[in-house]
Amino acid sequence: MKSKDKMGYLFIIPSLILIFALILYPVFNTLYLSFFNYRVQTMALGKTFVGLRNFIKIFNDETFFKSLKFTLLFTVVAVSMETIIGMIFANIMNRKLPGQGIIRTSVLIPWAIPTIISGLMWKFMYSQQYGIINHIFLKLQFIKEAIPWLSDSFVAVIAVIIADVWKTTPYMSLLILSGLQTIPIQLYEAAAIDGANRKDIFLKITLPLIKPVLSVAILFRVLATFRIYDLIAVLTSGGPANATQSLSLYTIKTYFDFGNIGYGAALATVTFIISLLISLLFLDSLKSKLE
Amino acid sequence: MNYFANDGKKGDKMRKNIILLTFLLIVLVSISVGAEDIVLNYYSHGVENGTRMDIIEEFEATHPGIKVNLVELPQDTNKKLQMINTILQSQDNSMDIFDSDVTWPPIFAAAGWVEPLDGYLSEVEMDDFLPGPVGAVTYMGKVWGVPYRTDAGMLYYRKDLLEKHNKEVPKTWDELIETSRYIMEREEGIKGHAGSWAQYEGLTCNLMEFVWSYGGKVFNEEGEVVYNSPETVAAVSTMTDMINKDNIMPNGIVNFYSGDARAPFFSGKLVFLRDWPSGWRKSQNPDNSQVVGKVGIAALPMGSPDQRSYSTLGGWQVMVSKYSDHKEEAVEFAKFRGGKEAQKMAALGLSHIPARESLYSDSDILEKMPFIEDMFPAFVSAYPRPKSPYYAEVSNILQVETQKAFVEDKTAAEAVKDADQRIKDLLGQ
Repeated sequence: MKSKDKMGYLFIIPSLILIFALILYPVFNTLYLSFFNYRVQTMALGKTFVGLRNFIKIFNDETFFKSLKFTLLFTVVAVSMETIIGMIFANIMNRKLPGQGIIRTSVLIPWAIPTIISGLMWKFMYSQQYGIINHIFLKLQFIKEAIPWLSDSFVAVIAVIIADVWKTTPYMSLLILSGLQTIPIQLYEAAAIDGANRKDIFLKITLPLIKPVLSVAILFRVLATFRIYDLIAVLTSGGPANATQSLSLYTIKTYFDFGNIGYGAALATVTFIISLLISLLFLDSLKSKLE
Repeated sequence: MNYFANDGKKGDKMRKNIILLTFLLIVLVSISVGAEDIVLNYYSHGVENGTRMDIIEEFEATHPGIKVNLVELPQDTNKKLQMINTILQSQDNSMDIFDSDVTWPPIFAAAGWVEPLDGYLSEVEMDDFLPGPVGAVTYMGKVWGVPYRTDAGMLYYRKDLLEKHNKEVPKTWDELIETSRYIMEREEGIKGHAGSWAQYEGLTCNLMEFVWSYGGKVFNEEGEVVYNSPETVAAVSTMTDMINKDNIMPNGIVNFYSGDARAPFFSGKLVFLRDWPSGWRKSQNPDNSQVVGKVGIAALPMGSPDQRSYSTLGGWQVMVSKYSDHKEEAVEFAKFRGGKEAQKMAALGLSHIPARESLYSDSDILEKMPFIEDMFPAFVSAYPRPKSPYYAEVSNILQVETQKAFVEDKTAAEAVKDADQRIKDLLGQ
């Protein structure tokens, strides 16, 4: 038994090393650097310990709060829409329909396209000069003037959300579909015999049974959306006037572009803590899955 | 007998094997001696059409014993900076030389990551370079890089439209607005002017041309922030008015990168365009331009007639890492890369604008790029962006605050005042 235990530890050593090197070390190093005033520009002078001053600065940083507000709004709206639309798609994909293979494949296409490419695609489509969306809307006379998709502070937020929902809904619907397929058909048959209506069936059978899968899916999406970077970098690079600057974008700009390593590390730490808190919210529903 | 004979055969075989092995060993050793060339790792732009490899081959042919290994940096300029930053920060000796944008030398010089080149370059060697690029690689009284390519903002205009409406090439921004409005009233589906005004480095380049031409600046000679001035406010007001009041900019201008600005001009829907020289060849290529033969190039307008025209300086240099194990050889290559021969090859092969004055009278280059003769004054007077190791952050503040004026979150005066304050906060002034 004992030697078996030893063997077990031996086998997990490689993955432990990888976790230490690629996850724990960077996280703790970032945390460590966040207590220093450390800049590329003054690197020759070394770093000076400033305690919590970087974090105090964050709480007085207008740009940080603007980015946080945008990121939260973006996360809540985008993930809610992804969940609702994902649920609808999953239900369609779960039916016995002719051509189901084609339906499932076509629903998945956006997920298969790399984010940078889909970002560029949306950028072309949103263009006020040659964009197809404005072109169609104008031709159909829905609108009188081209919509300033990416150049108006308010509309740009919507535009970014639409692009993200389009891209990640397939992921959501795929996970929900996997949940739907685990529900035994007998439950529905029994409910039908008892005379339950569609609303009751959905709320009392489908939803509780897919809840574990759904909460994992939402957790994944919330965490990923909260750290959104690539899509926004391609679509707006945070503009106009920082209206679509996400926390990650701000952090990366501060750390790498501005060379403000200490403050950038503090921003990264705050983002990390918020993500951690969000995951804790989901801990309960994750537990119920294990039981 | 048989036994001995066998043994003899075996011995023969063994001897043969030993000879063969020795021979192989000698070959291997001699190869590795031959391979004791010094290999320089050069972090560079992508290879594109092979001209960069030709330059390296030429260097290797003239400098036996040194080989250059080109490592491609990412396409995006900010990503290039991130990668170089990361390597230098970790004091990695695997990067010997690298391409540097015109605004980077103060960053690396202040961090102490690059080798000053004063000891290696004679004054005569620096003499042939244009003043702009030399200024860009000079920081704190030292030279930190060798320029190999220059750039400057230009005004592109539609020759045919100006002729048709009997208008002169505008000398001031007000004239440009007036001419735009005049032509917009008389031509269907035409807008006046465009530039790269999205929230990125391109906006800083465009903005500075306005600010300088009105007499404003970011820093004074002592390095103090003097951005908040009536001149700067006038410049930003003009830009804001061009979007919101005079309405001569295409819709969506606040999210225009250089490609977005070129597209409407190339399809004939703009009278004016602020672009780099690299747009010229594209504008004259019938595959993607409908304005072939209809485009003129001029210096950018002035703020008022008593000011002068300013172009933002662009361009690239090579810098030598302080952590290189082969600095001598790296400097040799840097000198070659910025030398006349390599710059000529890049001009012919990649249409790069030379950073050396003598190449503007080179007949081969003039044949390939006749326009550089007319543009020469703009290259000579091109002005560097504010020099600071904190440049990236200063530039970001300018972009964000200017865009706030563009989208009418703030007035031009407020935006200038806030930018001024934020830059002062950043630099502790």
